[in-house]
Amino acid sequence: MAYDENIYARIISGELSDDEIAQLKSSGEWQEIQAILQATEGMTIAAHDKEKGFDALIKKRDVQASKGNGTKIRRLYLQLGSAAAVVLLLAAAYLLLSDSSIRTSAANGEMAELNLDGTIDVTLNDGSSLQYTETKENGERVVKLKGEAFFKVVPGNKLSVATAHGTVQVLGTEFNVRSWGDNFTVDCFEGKVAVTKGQQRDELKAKERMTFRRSGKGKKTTIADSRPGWMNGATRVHQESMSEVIEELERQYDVNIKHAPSLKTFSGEFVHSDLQKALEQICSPMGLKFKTSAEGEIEVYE
Amino acid sequence: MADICKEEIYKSLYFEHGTYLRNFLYYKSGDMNLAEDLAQDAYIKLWENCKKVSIEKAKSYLFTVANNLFLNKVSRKKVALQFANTKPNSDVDVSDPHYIMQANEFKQRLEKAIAELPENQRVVFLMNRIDKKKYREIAEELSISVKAVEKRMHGALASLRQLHKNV
Repeated sequence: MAYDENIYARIISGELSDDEIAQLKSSGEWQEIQAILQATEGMTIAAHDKEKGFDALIKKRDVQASKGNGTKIRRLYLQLGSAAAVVLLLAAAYLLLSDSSIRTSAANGEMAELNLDGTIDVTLNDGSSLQYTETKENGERVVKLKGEAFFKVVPGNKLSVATAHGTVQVLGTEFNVRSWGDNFTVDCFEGKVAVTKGQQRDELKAKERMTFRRSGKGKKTTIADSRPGWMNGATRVHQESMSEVIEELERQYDVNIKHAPSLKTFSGEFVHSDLQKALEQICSPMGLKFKTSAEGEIEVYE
Repeated sequence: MADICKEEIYKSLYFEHGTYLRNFLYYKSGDMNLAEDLAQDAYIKLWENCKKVSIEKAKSYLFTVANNLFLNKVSRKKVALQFANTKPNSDVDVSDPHYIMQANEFKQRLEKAIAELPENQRVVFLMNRIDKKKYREIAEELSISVKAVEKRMHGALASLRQLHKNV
């Protein structure tokens, strides 16, 4: 059978000459190959649910990332695209902490407390982490914060808190830094702090709050509390997007909540001790409903 | 260049190639759990290297990584493939019970013979028959020449043709 090579393959691609076809037909090969092609024409294998498959992929990807190959941190920065300049600016402060640094984290639903140099008390809110060196460098205390924390500094001591959004510098004071998603809020409870974001530098006195949104200048308001709400077992937010509020709730209770993206903002408070109550506190003023499935999945919907 | 790092582009790449990548791994291994697992791992690798891989190269990157993952993982064993919903041929008389019996029997023997093909031939054959891919596409995904694809396809058909001989 001195056919041209791969002649059967060319039956499928339809690249045969009339001569070749005639030859194959007379030998019966044409019919035999056609029978195979026909029998395999409608052949399929198990269907593939792409939506489900993608969800499973993302879950696996994020679990692997959180096991510490840095992907998660990279993702955070990617989401902050618009704040790229700020991230660059902070690179110097971050480098200071590169090698011999220690990291303390508060797991979801938990807080962590630590003391630095006997002069700085830090309380980390859930899901947040703080990176610092064992001893001061050049008499300066620089820490790197991801998330939210309350700082109490003995007067006369210097502290710089670097976040992905900007830095906060203090001289003996009590203050809270919140740096999640697009949101960067600094509350000063005592003394004085300086907040630097990009080119902008502002000083806050006691009972003042500075809030930065995605872009634009910060807004200064006054506060009545003497401690951040989350330290008293509740989270208080002011005009934060629903997604950020729900993310906070997820961190606080270490749960996953399904919700449609929303542009609405929420101002108010939710407790840390009772998930059902916290959901009510958020949903009822917003006209939203929520349900918990038998598998423990929570969904917030209109 | 770093477009794949955008979640929506990453997702669209999954929707475009995810099923085919899984199928490819299934044709190789005959193990659906393993195929889905390795396909996920290939996509995770793509995410980790999203800055280094261009969108144009994403597909062949995925297939290459999947192939390497498979080679690392699997000690070759006999595969048993499960096919579903094989549609009856539309141009045959389905009222003839004798014919149907024969056709079913042929199909069963055919499926067994496909599973017994050499891996290279089986993968090419099923990518064409089930995923309806052209030789050029298969060549691109497997990083081989179109000629090589034709050779494997020809080899597959030549073996399967033997089914007609030993009825």
